[in-house]
Amino acid sequence: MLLIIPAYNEESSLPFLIDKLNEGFDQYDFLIVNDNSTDNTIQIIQNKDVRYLDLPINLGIGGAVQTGYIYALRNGYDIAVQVDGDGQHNPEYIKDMIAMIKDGADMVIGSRFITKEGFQSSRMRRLGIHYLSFIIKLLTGVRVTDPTSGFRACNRKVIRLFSSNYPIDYPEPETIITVLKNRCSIKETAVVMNERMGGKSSIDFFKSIYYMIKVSLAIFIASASTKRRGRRFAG
Amino acid sequence: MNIILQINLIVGTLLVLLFIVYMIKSNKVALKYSLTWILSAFFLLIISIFPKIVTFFADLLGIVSITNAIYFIAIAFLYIILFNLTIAITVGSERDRKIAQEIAFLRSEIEQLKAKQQQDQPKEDSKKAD
Repeated sequence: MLLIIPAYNEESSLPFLIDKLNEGFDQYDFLIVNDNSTDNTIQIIQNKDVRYLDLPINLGIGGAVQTGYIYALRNGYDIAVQVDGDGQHNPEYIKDMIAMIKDGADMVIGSRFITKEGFQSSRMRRLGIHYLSFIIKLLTGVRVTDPTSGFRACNRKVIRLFSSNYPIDYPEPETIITVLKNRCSIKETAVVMNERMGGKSSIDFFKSIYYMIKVSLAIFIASASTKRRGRRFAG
Repeated sequence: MNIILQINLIVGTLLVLLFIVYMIKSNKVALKYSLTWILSAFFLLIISIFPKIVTFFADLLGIVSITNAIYFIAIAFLYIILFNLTIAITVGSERDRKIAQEIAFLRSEIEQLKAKQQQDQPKEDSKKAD
């Protein structure tokens, strides 16, 4: 059981998350992946004496998260849970997510739109999320209410898949297709998210148009290239 | 085609070819990525020696003006070269990512070994004292 925490310039929120995990959730191993932050993130991690990886160049969220999955694969973890370093995700839900993985789901996504409690994001962003949810349903027949959620648990099969194949930027919706195309199952569980404590959202307003086009294209291409991805996974 | 233009083109293309070969010889450009440049320069050389080829292509593609045919051919070559560069960038950044990830792993292993060494050091000293 490994928690993967990607961190890029999270000096304000990371100490709280580390303390929270050390106090109430010491049954989980956790790994912080510092994505070459320009602030004091690395000093904070080193002072706290926790397990971490320090990337020499900024790879973006996808590259950082994938580094965590490779770590999980190499160190023989059966389950990996991705948790954002900005304090949006509550570790209380990890227990439920792991239970669902043990019940047979290959990947479990923490969705804030099942009970519609807590931080719901802005109206514009929700509209974008509904649109992504719609095209994923259209292409795969599977309903995912929160495709952009970075709060997700994976079993060994998906850890292996992500270690060899993970998109670089805005990876969440695209990986859903990759997982489904490789005949892995996805389940969602209701979570309550917090508003981010510090740092900046990886998507600002002006990038949102680019984001929607890029992610839509990525989803279409990913759903079209079944054979290639399948073979890559096998090899 | 005007004979003066033809001579200018031949001389110019030969110079370009010489320049590319010089760059490859002095290891400033990889042969792999300059192949498209060499091919296009070579093609231009052939065209300037036998300008009838362009007329043939223009007729084949239904292009009325020969000048337009030359533009079209030039742009087609640029497309090929640019796309090759995009491929090279993609391959390069994929390698960058893998290397960066391995560096992160090696860094953490070195730290662990250092910490272990510091732990073992006092023990070995005391053994020597015995």
